[in-house]
Amino acid sequence: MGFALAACRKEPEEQALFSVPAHFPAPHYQALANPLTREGVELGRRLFYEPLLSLTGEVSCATCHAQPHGFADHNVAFSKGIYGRLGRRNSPPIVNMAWNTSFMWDGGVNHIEIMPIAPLTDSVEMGETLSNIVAKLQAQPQYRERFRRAFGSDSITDQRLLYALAQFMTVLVSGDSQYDRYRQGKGSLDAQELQGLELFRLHCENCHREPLFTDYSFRNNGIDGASGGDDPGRERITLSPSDRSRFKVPTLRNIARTYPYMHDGRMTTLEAVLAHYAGGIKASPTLDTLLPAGGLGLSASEQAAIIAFLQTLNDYTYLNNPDFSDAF
Amino acid sequence: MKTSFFSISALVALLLVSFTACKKDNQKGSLHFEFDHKWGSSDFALSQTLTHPNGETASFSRLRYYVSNIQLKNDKGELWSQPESYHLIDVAGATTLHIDDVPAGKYTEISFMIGVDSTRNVSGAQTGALSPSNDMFWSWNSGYIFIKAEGTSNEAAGGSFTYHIGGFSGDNNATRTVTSALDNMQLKHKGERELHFMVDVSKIWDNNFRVSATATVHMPGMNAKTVADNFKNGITLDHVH
Repeated sequence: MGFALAACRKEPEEQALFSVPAHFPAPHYQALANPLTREGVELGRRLFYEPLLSLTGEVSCATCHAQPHGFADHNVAFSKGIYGRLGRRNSPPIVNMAWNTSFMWDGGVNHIEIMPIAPLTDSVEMGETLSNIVAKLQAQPQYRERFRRAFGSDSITDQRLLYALAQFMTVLVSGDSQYDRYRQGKGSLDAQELQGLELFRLHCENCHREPLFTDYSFRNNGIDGASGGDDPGRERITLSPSDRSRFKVPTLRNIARTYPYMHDGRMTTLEAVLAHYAGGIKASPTLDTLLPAGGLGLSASEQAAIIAFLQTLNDYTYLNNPDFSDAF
Repeated sequence: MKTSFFSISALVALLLVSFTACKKDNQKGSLHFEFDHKWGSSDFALSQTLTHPNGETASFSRLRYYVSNIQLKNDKGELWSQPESYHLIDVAGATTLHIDDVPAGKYTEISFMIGVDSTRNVSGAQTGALSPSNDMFWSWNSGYIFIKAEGTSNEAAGGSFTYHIGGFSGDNNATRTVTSALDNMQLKHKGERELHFMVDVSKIWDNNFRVSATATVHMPGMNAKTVADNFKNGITLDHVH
């Protein structure tokens, strides 16, 4: 599981950097050309918290992806980039990225290494160019030295910048919540949480598949009706009408911290989300076949039990891990 | 002593054999490619109003495209592919390319791709011609922009045209291959041959594709494929030195 090149000679430090919980499947990202090192991950962390990467020097990745919020934004629907410009979709949490087969709500990005290009260069986010960012970093002796330590050369390139960020994103693994401990036989769930898990497996599992709590597919969960919403979703990428209003199934890990919910952040509470699934699902040509229009018919106590279960997905180890925090 | 004499002569013999065997494989030459951009029978230039046979006009501010996967076929039908074959042609900059370590021989065919093959479109952060800093990569819909043609036109809606041609998967694959016959072109050891290609840019608006109808192409799909076909059809091998 993991890094094929290093499989035969796995360094102890590498295992500590990227620790895959025993009940997780093998990651998708193999990092063959970009093996994890302590220096690479550390450089990636610094770059993640570095506002110099933005045009105005005020916005870093962490501005919209904050650790206490599961590396999603500070409980806002749309994020503010340079000059206070508003984004168009809710900032997703950066967690367990090594398992992602695509990135962004519409899956438009196909590889973790090139994921940062969009936020780094988008005019409503960080608004820079890769060449400028490289030049800014090259001008700083402490970055030249960190790149040298990570990649063997103090000649900074866009590839190495992206490699470092990919290494940091890779180590952001959340797999030590109360649920995870229960799964590994190291912890327990109370009666309501267990009932919630049972209901979850009955109604939610097919899309929010354990243990990553997503199957990475694109689905229409009925928050918009037949006329569709403002956002075409996956259709924008595939140009296929059957992908209209389809968005990537988001992970539910740390869900209590990452509100508001849905691609446009329209639902502020888990109660609102469960009410939607219970009785608010709207019919449309692309509504997922697993979801009945009108809702799943969950009772109030069933909704409450599912919410209680979802709270067990909060991973306080992850949310408080100093290795992921702002180094400055 | 007897053993060592035999060992030495065996070693010498081995060396001689391997040397003569290798010598043939080590015969390498170079190829120089020139891309001569035309507008019909006239020369193509940026920032110049050009008139198309269909009556519409255009003035280009930018024209760049990927030439990749250069491959040669020799007179024995054997194929040679340039490793890491990715080159960015830019009318405002490099319109030639030079490749070394081409096996000596007699060649009957050359081919190259306009665009970037699908594998490289899904392989993460890359360098050189494939660096995303070259502004030939979509950040929101991962994939390379194979051909970038931008400029102004009185007939274009909004007064300007922007063609970013890409798409690598399934039905939307807009990579196209140019194949040209070579008349037993001989490449000698340490030799160099020059291949002059003409690129008739006016062909972009071929097959009823008009700037007045389509001023913008910025994602994979039907229009991207049309432009890819048209552009490729405008590329011909003119002569070889």
